[in-house]
Amino acid sequence: MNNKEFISELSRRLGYTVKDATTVTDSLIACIIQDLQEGKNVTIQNFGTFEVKKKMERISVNPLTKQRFLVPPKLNLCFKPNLTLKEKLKSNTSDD
Amino acid sequence: MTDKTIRQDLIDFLIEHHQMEPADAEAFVKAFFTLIEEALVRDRYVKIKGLGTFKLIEVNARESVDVNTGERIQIKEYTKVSFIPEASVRDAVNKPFAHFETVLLKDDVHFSDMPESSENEENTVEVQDVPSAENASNSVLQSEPVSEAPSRMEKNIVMRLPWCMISAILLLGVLVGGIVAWMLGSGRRYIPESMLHCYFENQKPAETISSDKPDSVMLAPVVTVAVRTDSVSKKSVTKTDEKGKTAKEEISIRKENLSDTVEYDMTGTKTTYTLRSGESLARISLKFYGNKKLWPYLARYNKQIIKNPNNVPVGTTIRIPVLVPKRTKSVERPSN
Repeated sequence: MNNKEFISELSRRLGYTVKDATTVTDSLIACIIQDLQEGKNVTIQNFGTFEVKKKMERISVNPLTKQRFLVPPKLNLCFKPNLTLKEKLKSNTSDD
Repeated sequence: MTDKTIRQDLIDFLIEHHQMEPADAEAFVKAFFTLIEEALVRDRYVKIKGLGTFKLIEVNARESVDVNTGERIQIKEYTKVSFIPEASVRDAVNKPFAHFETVLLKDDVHFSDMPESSENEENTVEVQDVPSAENASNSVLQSEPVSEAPSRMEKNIVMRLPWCMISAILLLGVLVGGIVAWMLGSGRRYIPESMLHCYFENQKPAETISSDKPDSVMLAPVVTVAVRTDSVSKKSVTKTDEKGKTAKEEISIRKENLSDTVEYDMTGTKTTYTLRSGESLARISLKFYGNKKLWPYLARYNKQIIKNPNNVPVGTTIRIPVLVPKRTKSVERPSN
């Protein structure tokens, strides 16, 4: 399901226009990202957790050229599904 | 919690910014996430603009070992949720570290605290497997590192040896220097008593030959005193003024070995002497009396000239007294 389908489905369910649904979705996502940037974890009940993890710098070696690179540290956005979500997906996929 | 945002916070945010009814906002947030969930189940893939892509990834069944029991266990196939953030989101989250760049390291740069990892490990594993299949090439490959290893070891030893030597030499130098400085600093002279005896014994016969009257000369400490007192006791019976003579004889002999075990009287100036650089009272005492321990007599005799006996300026002319053993002792002894 791509973004267009997602928004239209959302507007249909809630009775919003597509435009309204888009703006509200955008602001919701903006809110989530803003919190993540502040270093907060965003936890949604029965869904999962968005969190920012720090990856340390490391040295990687290109096995072909034997060149060594120092890879800088970075902050990564991770999503960790909740147990209930996992269970739902498990049961649903097993049904398929 | 300050570091945690829950669903209610998002709802509050929507209420604030869009003047939505709380019930509507809650319904929206709820619908948003349940729709993602349902879409995942249906299409196994949801792409949301501005956030990222959720995907279901199937993980094949595999074998593993139970950590506690050590038994082989089968892990069933399952699906996991993967979330790939959009590029814009990724950059926004990584903003604090955005200015870092991957740097190509030079060969001589090493970090001891970081393990080096190959970019794709599968590739290296394949490379290792190939030689193991061909035995011939394998043996050649193996022999090379073996021959290389000792040469490397030698290099290490050669590199390490100078360090050891330099440090050992430095340590030795410091120790020897310290001992010498201490010996010079503290006034003691570590010449063993036996060596002094040898020295005096050697000088004794030489002087007995040179001087006409050996009993008049005072030589080594205890032995000579005994000899002298013996001779005096013999002669004291017959000639009482012999002692006077012996005293005069001392004056005539320029260099003599006086013992520091006997006390002396200073009877007149023998000669004068001008100090040169590098000379001390002890040195002069050794020169004139053959015993450096007699320098206090010099200091006492030259009280007016020498202010500090430990530091006599060069060019000072001092008087050298004639030292005569105290009469009382030498007279009393024979009578006993």
